[in-house]
Amino acid sequence: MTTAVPLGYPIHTQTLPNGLRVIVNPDHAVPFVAVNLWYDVGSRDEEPGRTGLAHLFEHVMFQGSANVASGEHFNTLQASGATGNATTWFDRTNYFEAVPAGVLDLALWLEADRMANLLPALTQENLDTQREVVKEEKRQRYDNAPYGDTIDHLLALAFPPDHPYGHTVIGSMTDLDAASLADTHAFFTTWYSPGNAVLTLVGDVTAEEGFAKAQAYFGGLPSRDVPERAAVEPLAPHTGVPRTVTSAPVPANMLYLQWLTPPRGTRAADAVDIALSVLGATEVSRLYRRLVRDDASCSGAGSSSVPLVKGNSLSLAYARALDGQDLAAIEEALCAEVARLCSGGPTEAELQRAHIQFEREWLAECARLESRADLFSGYATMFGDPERVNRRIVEYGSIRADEVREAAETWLRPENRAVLEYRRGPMGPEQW
Amino acid sequence: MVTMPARPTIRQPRPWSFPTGATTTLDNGLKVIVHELPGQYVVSVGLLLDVPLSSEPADREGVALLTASTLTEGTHSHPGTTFTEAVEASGAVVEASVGYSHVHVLADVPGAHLRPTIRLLAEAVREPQLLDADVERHRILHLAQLEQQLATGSGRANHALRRALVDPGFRASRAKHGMPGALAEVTGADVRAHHAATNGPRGSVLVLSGDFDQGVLDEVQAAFGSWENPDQRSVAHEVPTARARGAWLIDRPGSVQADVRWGWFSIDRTDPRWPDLQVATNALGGAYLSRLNRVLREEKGFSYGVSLVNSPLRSGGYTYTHGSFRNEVVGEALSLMPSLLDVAADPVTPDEVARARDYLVGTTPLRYATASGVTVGVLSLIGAGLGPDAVEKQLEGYRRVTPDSASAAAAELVAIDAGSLVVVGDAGALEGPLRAAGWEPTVVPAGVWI
Repeated sequence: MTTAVPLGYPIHTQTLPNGLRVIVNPDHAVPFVAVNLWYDVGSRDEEPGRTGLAHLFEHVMFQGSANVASGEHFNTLQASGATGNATTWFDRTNYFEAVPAGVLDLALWLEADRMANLLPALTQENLDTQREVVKEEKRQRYDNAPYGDTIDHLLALAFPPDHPYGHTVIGSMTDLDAASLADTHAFFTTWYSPGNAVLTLVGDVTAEEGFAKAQAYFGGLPSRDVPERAAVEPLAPHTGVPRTVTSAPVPANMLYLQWLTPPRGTRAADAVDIALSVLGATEVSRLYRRLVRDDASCSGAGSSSVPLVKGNSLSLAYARALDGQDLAAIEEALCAEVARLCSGGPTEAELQRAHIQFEREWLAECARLESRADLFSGYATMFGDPERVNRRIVEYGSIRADEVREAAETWLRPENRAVLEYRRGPMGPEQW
Repeated sequence: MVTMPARPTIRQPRPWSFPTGATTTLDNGLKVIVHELPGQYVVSVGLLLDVPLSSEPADREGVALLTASTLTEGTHSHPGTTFTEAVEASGAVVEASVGYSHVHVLADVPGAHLRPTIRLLAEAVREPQLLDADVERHRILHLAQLEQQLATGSGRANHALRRALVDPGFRASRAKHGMPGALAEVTGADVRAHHAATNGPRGSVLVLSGDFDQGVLDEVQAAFGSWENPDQRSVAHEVPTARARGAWLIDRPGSVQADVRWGWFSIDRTDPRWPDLQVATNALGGAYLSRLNRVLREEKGFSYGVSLVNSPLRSGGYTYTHGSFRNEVVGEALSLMPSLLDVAADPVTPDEVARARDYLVGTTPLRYATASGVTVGVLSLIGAGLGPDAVEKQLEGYRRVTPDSASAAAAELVAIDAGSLVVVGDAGALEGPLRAAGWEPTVVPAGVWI
């Protein structure tokens, strides 16, 4: 049984006159504070021909600002006993550091200086060097890695090329090369304003101190208008089973089934998530049992998703074939398992496992100051409601078996799938 | 431009000390350490078994890996998948893994469900089924995973580095899977025999961390108190030594980047030079603006990131540069690296020592801020042969490092005229640049193991 009681993290919120939303969650267990800033901008906001710009911009944010030298932001924080980083995704860019409590002022000052005064330091030289670094990142993570272009194929199956989610976060080499200094300056001016950001502090700080410090360092920044975004209409489910077949020197044939499902934050998305969990979260889930244990045709099988805020998320079922196994038969087995869930729904035991496993995962996320801060920033940015972090276990735990069945039948029907067959091309000799 | 307030100074944080555990020993010899961590609602339980990989029969390498993988595939009390279903129904996750010097079985669970989880963890260790069919499936899965690892340049380089640095007479020179083909020899009977000979309370340590109700020791006693195994063998830990120096260029045709590892057989955490090496490593290749990353990433744009890494074993260890570079700049990167690591010409400075020390000391509380952080951290220290005061001692050690001691450790252990090189990439594109950079690599075709 899940306990399904709300969490009780105290959450204090305030909005500065310039529009910056500030969240403080005091927790004095260790003398550290997690500082987390979400900017409500991601790869979905990039213009055609400028893919990868949001992420490239994240890199130049570490190249100094009016009062901070190139590389000094991170270097200074590390030398003060802090950790930190930044990430870019479809729907957001986040910057974060966990600092000893006595370093909080410095961390806020560094973040504020780059929010206020980045452009004087954003030079052609800095941009060019980070462009090369990002291209190396692309080679390392995608171009030189087996299956590294899987996400490209999955996005192309799901979205038209001009859709906000129709391209990868890393972008294309051509577009990275084309990004100009003027582009990066315009990107900053458009998106990096107090009203388009949420600042969260979790840890060894009181609400009063946190708000006073936020005001002291960010209060002097002028407000700027945040551009209106066009609404993103949900796409209709796939029809006619669109299919991409590709091959490359990879070690095994992979098969992906993909569905367009409701955007994150909705009750329907939670119901779909439980359906995916029943299908493929672990090694006793249905897909693994069928394909790895019973049929012994695969070395792995499961489900995953790409949660997105606008219009649709992507849901996936996948299988990694053993040598000599027929992908068509594997696809048939995957579809049969999905169809069985659509018609019969989860068992009560499966539903309970999904609920309580979510509870542990959520509690574990909240146990780390850094990830808890990221959850508060995220829920404030995406849904305007950081308190929802405290209610998530109850929300998720309230999804009933009939809702899961209905969600599966509505969103995960086999006939509404798209398919990616990633086939093993010539590998050369065995690796050993 | 916005006028900013003056740059804030840093205040010293309030003192922090490692959350000391309460240690007891059960009558059967199992050592139990409990860390009370208020507010940590997901509790973390970890069992260390003092079973090094050197306990494997020479012709059955990989048996320890297969045994650990199969522990959670069903017990006599919860046969087959009913075991994992019971674990999941408790909101828990239970995983067993092997290291070179010990086996870990870890469970994370919401505190309210601790009782069933401890019992399930004990079952997995004491009475696993270890059926032929499960062993067979895990062999296939491990081989598939291995194939996947070796298909990446980075995975291939990491495997080769171990071979390059450790004398082949030691188990630590080979993957946990053993050498090619080794896993194919391991049967269900081998797995059961390995388990029968190695499981037991002697030398084992159970670490529990989290926000506990009273009575956690009663649960431990109920689950583990009757654990006995008269057949439990003790196996001495091996003391590996270095392999002769070499350079290998492993062909990965068509690669657009090269994975580069330049490494040295070095020291473990019990060595008095460990804090010096850690500080030097941070300055040379750990910090964001370390010597390696500042030049090769931030100035040259040659790589997404270049680091110097310490990877200690129970005895000895290795230290290596880690980075990948586009083919066109590999030669120049390799030519620059020795000068960047040359502490004889450019000793580690007082400022570098201060920064590295403050980073290493300052971030320590964060590493032990969660229940799983404490459990995994303590198991790692115990597995390294260190005592319960290891964290405090390590902090003292960092505070004692001087520019001279850091430079001396680096000069000795990261010697630029020594070390072995492993490069994985397109040999046709890379052999010339490697030779131009002063290396004479043995070119290894893709299918050959060094």
